[in-house]
Amino acid sequence: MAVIIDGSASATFATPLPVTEGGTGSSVAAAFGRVVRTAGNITTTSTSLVDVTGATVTITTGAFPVAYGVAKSFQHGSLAGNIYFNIDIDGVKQIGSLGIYTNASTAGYTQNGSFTGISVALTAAAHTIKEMWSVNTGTGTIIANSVNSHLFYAQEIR
Amino acid sequence: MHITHELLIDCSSITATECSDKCLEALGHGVDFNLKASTATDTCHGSVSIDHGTPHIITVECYEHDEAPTAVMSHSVMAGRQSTLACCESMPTEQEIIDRLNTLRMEQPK
Repeated sequence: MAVIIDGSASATFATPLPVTEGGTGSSVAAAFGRVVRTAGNITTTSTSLVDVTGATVTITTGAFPVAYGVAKSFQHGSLAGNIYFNIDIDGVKQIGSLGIYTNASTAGYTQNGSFTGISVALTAAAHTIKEMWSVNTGTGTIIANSVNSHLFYAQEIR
Repeated sequence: MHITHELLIDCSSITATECSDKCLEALGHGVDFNLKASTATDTCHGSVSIDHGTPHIITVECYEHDEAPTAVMSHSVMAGRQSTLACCESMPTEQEIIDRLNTLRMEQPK
């Protein structure tokens, strides 16, 4: 039974799926993709969203939602510069037209840029899911080394 | 126009931002070919994204169409892109961009 702790927001609970369609007890494995970058920082000067190099997965799902997430550290080269992150599924931005943004309190200061989210139910097909980013000024850097890796994942929720 | 070019660059002694700035300088970044916004309301002619691995993979995007800012003020918060994207009047050719980037190529040991 679903319990809503905070009833102020709306929530939609789908009818549980039968086992034959991947519901509880199903032997149908959920599709997932995961990319870990451990070497080679990435930079961009783009003020419009561009792909994060390598942070793209293509998975074939059933008619289910996909949970996605990014764990990473980043820097902005300019004081008070903004940096934006978004997730794109088949050309549709998941977090607004621009995305989550953080303002650099100090130039070159390493900050946490991790976030997660979940899509609506997708069609049963192959889907391309990728991380995108941009800055409003200057240069943004995603840190990728053996100490501070960049992790991007997407997992079908059955 | 997107140009992706691989280049051996050793940026181990500088920051990724400084390495990016070197690439911008080599590309001729300036007011007439603005690849990096210095203010949020700049007019940009393109951008440079770099994978600072070995080799470096440098992607230069030159805008071929003009796009107005998308920013709107909502509840005292500026949301959206404030920069203008514009096609450069004297856009370099793909070969010119590659030639400019190749000036950064490391000397190969003999």
